[in-house]
Amino acid sequence: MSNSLAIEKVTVRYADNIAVDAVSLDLACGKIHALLGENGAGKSSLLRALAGVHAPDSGRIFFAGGRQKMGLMRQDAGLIAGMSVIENLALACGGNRWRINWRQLRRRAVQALARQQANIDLDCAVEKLGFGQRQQVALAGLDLSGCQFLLLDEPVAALTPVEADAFLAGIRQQVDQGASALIASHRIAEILAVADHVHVLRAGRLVFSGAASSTDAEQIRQAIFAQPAAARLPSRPSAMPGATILDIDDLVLPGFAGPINLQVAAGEMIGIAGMAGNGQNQLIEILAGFSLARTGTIRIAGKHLAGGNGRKLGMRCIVEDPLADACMADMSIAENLVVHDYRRPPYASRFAILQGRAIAAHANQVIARARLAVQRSSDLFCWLSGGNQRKLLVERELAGNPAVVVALNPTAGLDSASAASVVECLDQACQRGAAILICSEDLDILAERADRLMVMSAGKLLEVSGPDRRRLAIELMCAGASTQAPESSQPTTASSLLSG
Amino acid sequence: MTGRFTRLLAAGPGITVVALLLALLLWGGIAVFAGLPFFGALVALVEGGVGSGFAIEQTLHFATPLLFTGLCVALPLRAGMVIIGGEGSLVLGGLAAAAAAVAVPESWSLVALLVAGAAAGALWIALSAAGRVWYGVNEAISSLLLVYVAIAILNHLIEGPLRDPSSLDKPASALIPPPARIAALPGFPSLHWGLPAGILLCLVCHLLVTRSVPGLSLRYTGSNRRAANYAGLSTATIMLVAAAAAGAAAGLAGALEVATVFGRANASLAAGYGFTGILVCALARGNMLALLPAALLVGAIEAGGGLLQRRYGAPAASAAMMHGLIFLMLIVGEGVRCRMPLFLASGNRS
Repeated sequence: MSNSLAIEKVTVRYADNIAVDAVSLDLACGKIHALLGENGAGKSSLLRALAGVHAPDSGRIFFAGGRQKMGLMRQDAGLIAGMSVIENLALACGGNRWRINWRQLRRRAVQALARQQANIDLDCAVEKLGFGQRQQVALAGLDLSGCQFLLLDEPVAALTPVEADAFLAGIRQQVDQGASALIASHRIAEILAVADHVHVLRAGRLVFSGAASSTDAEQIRQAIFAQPAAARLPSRPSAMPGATILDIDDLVLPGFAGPINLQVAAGEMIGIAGMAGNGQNQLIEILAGFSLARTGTIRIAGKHLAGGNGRKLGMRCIVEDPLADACMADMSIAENLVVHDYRRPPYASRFAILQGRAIAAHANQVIARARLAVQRSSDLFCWLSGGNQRKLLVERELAGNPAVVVALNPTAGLDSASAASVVECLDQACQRGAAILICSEDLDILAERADRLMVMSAGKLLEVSGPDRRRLAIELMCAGASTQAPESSQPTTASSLLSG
Repeated sequence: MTGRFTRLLAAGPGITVVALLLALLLWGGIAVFAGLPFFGALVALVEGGVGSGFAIEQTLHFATPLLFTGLCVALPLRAGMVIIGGEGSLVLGGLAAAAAAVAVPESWSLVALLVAGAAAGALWIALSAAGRVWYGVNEAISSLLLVYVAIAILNHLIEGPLRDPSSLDKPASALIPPPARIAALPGFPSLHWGLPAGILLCLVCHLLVTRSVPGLSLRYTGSNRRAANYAGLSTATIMLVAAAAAGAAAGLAGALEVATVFGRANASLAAGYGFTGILVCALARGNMLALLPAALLVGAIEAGGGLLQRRYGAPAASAAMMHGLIFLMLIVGEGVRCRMPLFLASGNRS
């Protein structure tokens, strides 16, 4: 009987969130297995559990017919910038405790790189290599350290199509010589071309598993993006858009090529879909005033947005990470909730004395409205769970009558009930006349709520309309993900790590 | 019972108390090593701090500048900056005060002394803050290095342009005119009006920071500058103002030293009060109300060190050693506190 890696009811939890939910899989050795799914579907968590980075909370992982060495390759290749290729390879497999046999290592390294048909100078500093070559070096490292079962986390996400094909061909070759591979990705077409088996995760559960030859891309797409049954929301009355409030004119996002032109009217909700890393973060940074737009103009109700005046113009942002960008972790809930209003009565008296009682009363009111489980307004903000932090942020930013609301992944990491309440708050703000812009990876919410749906791809906005815009958007996202210009598709983390 | 005890420790003041006790024990051990009796040394330390009317007066005397230099650390801390160069502000404040008091008509000399001291101190710390705000220079390092620049400026001026020709063995600036001398408190020859002023300043700063709108702006900025920017605060201005106010406090301490103790600027200005202020602020955990007991405690150790010298001939460094040990224990305590959840979790599991 041939060997296989057996995964039995593996569950991985992060605090309250279940990342991987009782996944059982039998991965035959000597094959390429593709692990597909949206961002946050649990791909990385499962890989990390397999690699031993995190112990799973429950379940078993074992080889059915004899142990094999496994190795994980991180998305950013995990090389050490400032050191040469051969030094990085020495880290992967270098000699014994005291001594590295460089001559032998070089010989083996040349062989390992040749197996991938990679032509890389061993003494080149890794930051001078292209992204594809870095991945090849990392793969050679796994090869040299004797890994037979390769775990690859988004290996082609940062690569151009040509690089990706070359890299995947290298994997194919290793597998043909007896290795095995599990590749996590969300680039369907390229992965399908090389994989033997396809497994799809959605919200931590295994929803599809089958041979690649008997499935097509469409089937996989449906498995990846299917509507979760629980997250149905009451439909939103279609808005009567008023005058244009937010006017973005020829804005070029840093690191991207395409200009963005977008007009949003009062009472209109715009949904922006797209794979992470296509410029959503940069757009929010500029709108929130964290960074400046170098080209293009942004007007709110006719007035220029510049130099941190967004708050005065009625711009409110719901950021992805409240603790980093919007809230004070080591201050009380009450103090966090009055950030926009503490200078005014009833929170401050005429002589700029804070009215602690009014501030606490306001906080208690908000806590009650947001239906938070028993929390005192004097508790520190960082004691709250991530979901509750987000809920309070939403309450704070949408209080009053904001002119423009920009939200980045407002429902990410929330359970379905919390997500619904966040969406409801956004709906209400919209009805009160706010222009709303939601960037999200949750296509279902966008397709269902937004008056206009756009896809953000390589720093550009493409409008999607028509009867089946959800499906169209998915196709645009997938297409865009594989045709990005190389300079814009490099994740900022990897490039900044290696250039710095 | 254990749970309650650990929670008490984790609450903060508990850690401080334990750190103090440990530092005291360690210090006693070192005293034995230096040939002093363990209990005798401890008793002398306490007796010299609080044992008599004279001892208490000494304690308050040493505590007075520490109130100001403690503020110089605590105020920027609340705005998110670690300023450890209060000594520089104190030195320059004293120098500017002495120079200004001599330069103006006698009737204005006291005002000139106070204003010049505060202004010079404010400028010095604001310089570090400006580096941080506009150029991202680490303010802890820049303020510390600026201390040595300040001391060099002091030495240069009192040995050169500002030197009083009559100061032969120890270079000093000219004596300030009598109206600029600040009188001792009635009945306490070694205490002066700086003490009530310092107490008042700490109280006012505490109330401002905790109860006023500008104070909340300051705390927002210190807690998360990015979020404060998003909320529309001009955090650069806030940080600069906080640093200038802090520097002014330390500069005032220098001016008071000149107006009460020395009557002129000389090298004794750089006596380390600015650095001891860091310890005071650490003991108070940045709380400006807690600066009062913290400054008293550190002042008492200073005074106790005096008695040790007189009674046992112990080296002058004994008090400084105690300060160092307290600081060390506080830092260790902080480290233990950060790992406390781990201890608690493993305790729950077993």
